[in-house]
Amino acid sequence: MTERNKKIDEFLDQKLRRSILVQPRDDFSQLLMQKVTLEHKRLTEENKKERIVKYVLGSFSTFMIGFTIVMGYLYGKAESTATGSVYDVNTTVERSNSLVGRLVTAVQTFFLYVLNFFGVSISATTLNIALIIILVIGIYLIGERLFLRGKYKSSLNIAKR
Amino acid sequence: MSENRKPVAKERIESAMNDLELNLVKRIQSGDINAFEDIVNRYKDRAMTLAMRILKVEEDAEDALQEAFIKTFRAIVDRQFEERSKFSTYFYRIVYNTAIDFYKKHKSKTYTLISIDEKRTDDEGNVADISNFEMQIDKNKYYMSSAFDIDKKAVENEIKHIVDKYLEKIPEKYSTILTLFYINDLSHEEIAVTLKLPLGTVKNRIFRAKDKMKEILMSKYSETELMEII
Repeated sequence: MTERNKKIDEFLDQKLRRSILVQPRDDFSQLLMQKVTLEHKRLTEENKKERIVKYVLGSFSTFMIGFTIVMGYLYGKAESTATGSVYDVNTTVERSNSLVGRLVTAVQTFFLYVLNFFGVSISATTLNIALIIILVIGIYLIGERLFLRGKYKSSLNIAKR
Repeated sequence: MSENRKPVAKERIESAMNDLELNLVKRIQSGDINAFEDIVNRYKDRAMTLAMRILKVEEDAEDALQEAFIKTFRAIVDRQFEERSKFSTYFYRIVYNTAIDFYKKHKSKTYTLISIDEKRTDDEGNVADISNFEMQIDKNKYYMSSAFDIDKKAVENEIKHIVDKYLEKIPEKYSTILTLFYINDLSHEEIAVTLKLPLGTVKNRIFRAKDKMKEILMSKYSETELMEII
């Protein structure tokens, strides 16, 4: 680059640096801060609600999991004393004629077959406990995501795009 | 030696600025929303310039900027902003994304832009985009009969006017990068991060936009005339 070109380039750099700064209206900051104050109030309120919902969801989930484990343990204990072996898929899954019952049976049978295929043998009761725990955790996570985080998603992810 | 010192000094200033901004962020997170006003006052002009480069209409730019500030506030309060990232880069990305969203929503508004990507010639063989641009400038006001009988200050003002008009008229993808680089003081790397573009593209666009500006100035002033002003 010749000396002249270099000088012109530097001149252009300087002109671009000093190019016009567009200023918003004079009351821009004031109006914006009013909105920010309202937004802050709203966020504080929602944080409170969020904490309450989390507490309720958490307590419910803990209760469900605890209840399931205790009931499963007690039921399993009683069942194993009565029947002995629990490894046969066909004998451990209880049959039912209702639609929900059939669905539950199908899910149980499916999981037991899959687990058997991988060499894991568990009783239908243990599987029930595991499935209920997974279900409760799933409900908690979906609930938290949908009701608490979903509404902010678009604004919070704006910078991440 | 002095050339070596400059970037270090700039780096120190930037680091101090970032520390100051992080301190403001912490204050906002602890509930002091007045600290946000400092951020607003610190950034509003440069962010407005960036929004204007994209949206070209002052009202739209102000609306987009307001939205961007509120999004930034939410992100700070909800601790979405990570302290390891530079606040200015993070904030300009929000401004850019918000302005782009705004632009997409109001696509119907058409703007006359100078093409940098392609050169179109009219029937007489003139480069159309440059002649269009020149039509925007009052030729009588800026006509130069001789480089030596015009006041240097006046010519400088003319050039400033041309540069400002040029920044208004070029496509957003160029004016945004030029603004981020020259006004918002972001480095090539930071612009690449902010706009999610490859570093080469950023450098290339700056080079091309500057080259085009040079072309416009050279079509108006001779090299000797420019050297006189410099």
